Amino acid sequence: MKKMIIIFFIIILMILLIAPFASTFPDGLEKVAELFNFSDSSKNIISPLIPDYSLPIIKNELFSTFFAGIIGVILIFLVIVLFSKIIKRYFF
Amino acid sequence: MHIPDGYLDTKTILSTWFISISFLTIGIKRVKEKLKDKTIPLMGVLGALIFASQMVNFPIMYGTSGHFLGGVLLGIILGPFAGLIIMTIVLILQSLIFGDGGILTLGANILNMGIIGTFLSTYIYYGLSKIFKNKIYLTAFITSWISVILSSIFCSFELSISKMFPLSLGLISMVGIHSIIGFFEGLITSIILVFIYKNKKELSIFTGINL
Repeated sequence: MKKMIIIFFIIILMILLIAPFASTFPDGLEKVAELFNFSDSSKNIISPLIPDYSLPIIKNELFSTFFAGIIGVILIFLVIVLFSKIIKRYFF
Repeated sequence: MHIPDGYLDTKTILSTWFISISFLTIGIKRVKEKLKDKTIPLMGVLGALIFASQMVNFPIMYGTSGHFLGGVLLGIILGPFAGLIIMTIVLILQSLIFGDGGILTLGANILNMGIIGTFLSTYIYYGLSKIFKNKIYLTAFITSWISVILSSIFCSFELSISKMFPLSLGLISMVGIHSIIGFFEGLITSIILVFIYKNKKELSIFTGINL
């Protein structure tokens, strides 16, 4: 099982290496919002830490995206593990 | 399909939150009952995989891109409830940290991508499995395609109720675009499943989940 987890993380790493080269075209919803002229209605209620998957402190765009991904991956893994342990013990 | 703040009106926000919280409450309870320690790292790494994959937009046509959702993949491996929870955690972090999807609209995004795109779609997978029997990859492909389209339909309803576009035209645009994205969702899901099934003994033994 440990082997599987490691393989998954390697796959994730490869995905993150591709991420900086991902398409910058608007996604389906954004495109439709442009077509119907409501894309300007979008608001940010809070200021995101890593807006647009780009670390503001890193100037190089490619690295900025890559490291944003690394942070996200680590955060999500940690939050899921923590959350799972907590509900196993305490919830309900 | 992450709806940003500002696209939905108050009544839509409140109703989608109500639905999502209801499902999540049941979901957390169910996951807690069945959760084994050894499944936890798998859930973590799958959530991370879904997150990473959603970062990689691919162009589909006319200056539009799509990205992988991963709901059906999560549901097949972890089951509908755990799949919903993991997808929800991904959506929450995407919204709070990366500004991908709004905060008030999280309820709608959880409904579209978590409840419809993961939870319901897993049951669709189970249903189609009975029809297609051994053809796992075909079933996964079709289910993934359906999951993306269904999510986009719900999204369209929410936007139209919020008066962002007329329902008929909105549906045609959203579903049209997402049927193409759904094709790739099906492809990617099936490919990853090939890898999962090749290693299914390890995964099943350690998660107790019958793949």
